[in-house]
Amino acid sequence: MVNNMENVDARELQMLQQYLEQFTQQVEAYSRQLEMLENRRMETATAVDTLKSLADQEGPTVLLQIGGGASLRVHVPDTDTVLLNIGSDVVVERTNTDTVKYLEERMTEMEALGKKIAESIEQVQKQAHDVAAKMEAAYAQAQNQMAHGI
Amino acid sequence: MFDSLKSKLKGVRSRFSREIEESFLEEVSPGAETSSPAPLTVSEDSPTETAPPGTPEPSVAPESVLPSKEKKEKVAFSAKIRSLVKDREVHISEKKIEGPLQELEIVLLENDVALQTVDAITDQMRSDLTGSTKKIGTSVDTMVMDALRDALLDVLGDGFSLTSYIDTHEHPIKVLFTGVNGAGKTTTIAKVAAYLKSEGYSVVIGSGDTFRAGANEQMQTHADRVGVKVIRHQEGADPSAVLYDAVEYAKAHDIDVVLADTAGRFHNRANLMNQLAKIKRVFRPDIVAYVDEAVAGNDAVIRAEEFNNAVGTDVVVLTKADMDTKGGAAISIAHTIGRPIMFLGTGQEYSNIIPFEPAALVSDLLGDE
Repeated sequence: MVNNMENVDARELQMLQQYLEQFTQQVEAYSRQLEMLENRRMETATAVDTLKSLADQEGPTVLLQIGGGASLRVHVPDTDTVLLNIGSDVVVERTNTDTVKYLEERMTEMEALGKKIAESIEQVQKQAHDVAAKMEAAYAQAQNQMAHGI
Repeated sequence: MFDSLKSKLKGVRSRFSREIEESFLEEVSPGAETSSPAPLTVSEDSPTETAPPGTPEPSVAPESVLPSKEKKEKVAFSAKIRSLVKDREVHISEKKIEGPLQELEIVLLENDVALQTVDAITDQMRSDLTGSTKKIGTSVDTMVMDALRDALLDVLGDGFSLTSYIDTHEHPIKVLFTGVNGAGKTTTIAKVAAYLKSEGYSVVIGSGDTFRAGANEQMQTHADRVGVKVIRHQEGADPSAVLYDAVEYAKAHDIDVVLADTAGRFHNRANLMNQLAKIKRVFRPDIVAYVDEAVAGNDAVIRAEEFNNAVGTDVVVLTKADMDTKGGAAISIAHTIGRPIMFLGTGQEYSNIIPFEPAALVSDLLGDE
């Protein structure tokens, strides 16, 4: 980090500007990651809600979206057998309860990761704020010097 | 780092230990043995037992008038007693560890470990534990830990020490960093530069990402912070020319290492991959390092494989490992593409990069003290 802001020259100001841009890019990258994570968490939460609500029903009918805004009414003969992709495109058969448990664990992990990313964003934002404050101080100093004809 | 995998591996280890302990108790208890539908263990010093169930006896001794099943149980039991009393050990059968092996398989898959790596780990665990003997008094958990440790070390390979490479090869060492967009190549180069500087090596960076707007400035900012010279041309310049100049600079100033940045690209973009091939021809790197995010999991493994097939890869650097709770990419990548991991990026500071040491990672995963 750049310290000692007294007698700031143009090159140092330029460097601070670059730091600020870099911090902004970092915040943007983290924010995108956080957004993706949140979307995945919401999707998982929807699956959990669906499985829970189907669990108590006998042969329910659901709407299956097939793309292009089209849906089919689909009869679900067995709500207790779920096909679950656990990674590496390996699909295993699990009970409704086990699947809900698995997905809820995933959500907890995603929440923990989201918290970490949010902390990183906060940290970078703080750094960006410090740099911005230093830049402002430098500009003020430069203006002051100009006003006094130094 | 890799917290989810760590806690789940602990659970699987306990399951292995429990199953083997139960097997041990069945061995010791004759009641349990006779009520068992089929012998669960195999004794090496008992030829009768190694024959498959239902196989007729090759020769019937005159004193053997007992029905074959009863005789078999008697022989098996006496062999086990002899094994327990004389050798003070029990044998571990495949059947007993099949359940925990399946659990291990699921745990690894759930943590984004590639299927072929999962197979390699479970196959080795099976072959290490099956038919092995547990000496009475030895810890089952230690046996399981050792088998798991060996299996993980086997798929992780030997690792790659950049400093050892630098020490044993002619300078300047040229390292070319490749990878997809946004994986953290530029930051990684700055971290590697800071690491090498702290280890006493001189470094110059070639800013070969002339495609992305602001990449030159970003590299310059990083380099200023870590105190390393950057060779750069204007935006849109030929990256091969930039990197050629970086090598010439290194030669003229007796610099130990040239770290070359390149623009991020996806392996399916033919023109960009051709450009990378040209960079390789001109720059003639000693090491091509593929950079990707650990959090990308299995996707990172697939991309690394594609990059390796397209332009070749010597080592892998995984960034954002501190954000990765699963560890799938770290475990699978070396085994899948057959190239070692060189560094793990573990945070935002320049010092947050660690040379990848398989033994240290496995100890961490298995919770060694």
